[in-house]
Amino acid sequence: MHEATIAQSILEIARLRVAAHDGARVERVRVEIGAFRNVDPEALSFAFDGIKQDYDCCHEARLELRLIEALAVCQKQRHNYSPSAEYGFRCELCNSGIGELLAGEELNVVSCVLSTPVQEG
Amino acid sequence: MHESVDQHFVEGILRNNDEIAEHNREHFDESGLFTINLMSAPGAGKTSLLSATIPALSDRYRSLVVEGDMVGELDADRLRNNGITAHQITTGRSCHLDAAMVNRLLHHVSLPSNLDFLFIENVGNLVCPAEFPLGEHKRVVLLSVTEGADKPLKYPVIFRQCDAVIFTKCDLLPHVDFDLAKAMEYVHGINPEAQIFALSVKQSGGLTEWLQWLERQIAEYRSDRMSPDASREEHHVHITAG
Repeated sequence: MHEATIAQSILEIARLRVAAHDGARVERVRVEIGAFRNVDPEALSFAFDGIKQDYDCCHEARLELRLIEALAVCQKQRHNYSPSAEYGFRCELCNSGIGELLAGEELNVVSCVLSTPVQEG
Repeated sequence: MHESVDQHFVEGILRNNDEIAEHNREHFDESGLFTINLMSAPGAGKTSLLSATIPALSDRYRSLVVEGDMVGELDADRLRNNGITAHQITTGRSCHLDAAMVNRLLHHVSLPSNLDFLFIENVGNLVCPAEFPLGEHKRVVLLSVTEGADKPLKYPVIFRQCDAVIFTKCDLLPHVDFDLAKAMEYVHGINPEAQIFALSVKQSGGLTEWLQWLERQIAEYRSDRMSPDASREEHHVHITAG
């Protein structure tokens, strides 16, 4: 259940972002998760909603997840393909394994939407 | 009145762990301590492998073990009973070691200056440890033949990230439905560069290729180090108690 650790890290990042704006609160935090990360979206959302109460500026914060599919280059022929367990993560054209992953290893906060008080006058 | 401000940036969620892992790596490199992170499901034989490996290396190399377990010191005690120096990290509710846990140990334990190998035995788990680098030089995943050959397909991340895979308990192959060729194929589909060993600590000579690999890795590590002329005596461990 390392999703709790990850949720905590996300909230820490949001807290630092909001700290620069007096009276601001976090409305939304957007996170991208690659398919080649061991992060379960439901468990992460559950952990986030449980832990956010500990962060004053994040009580109302919503977590938005963007899941990124894996994209690989095969080792032998340099074909681009989407590795899947169904094909043993091998290239469907030449059967070679994953040479490198072009996408799928992301685990990032990519934006925070802050609600900031408007100065009147 | 409030207005919404949308801030766009890219920040790695586990950057904090990765930075501490880098710091740990500097500690290891200061003392030329070649560090291996051993990961597997519970019961795959990490402790048994270390109990056989370290004595087999002991005429040429000095080794130390850091044991990660959720509760107790059973595995560390097993190693100590075999004359192996082992430090325990008890993780409590956490199902993996993280870089900060290893860092705290490094700052509280006085390590001898003439060590060669540090083996970090992670908490038994094929999921969470993959997300938390510790500063190690190499990652090794164990898969026992009693677990099933399809585990690489079910836990691809940890098999993608490792340098070597060891199929353990191979003395049981005649008694279990474990297709060794399939298991190798699955590993190499995910990670074509992974070195694969099939062994049993209960069979004499079973460790030979694994031991040779370890010796090659530490030799390469030493030849790659920035100060090739620096002797080990000049690289005292900078880790002190407190």
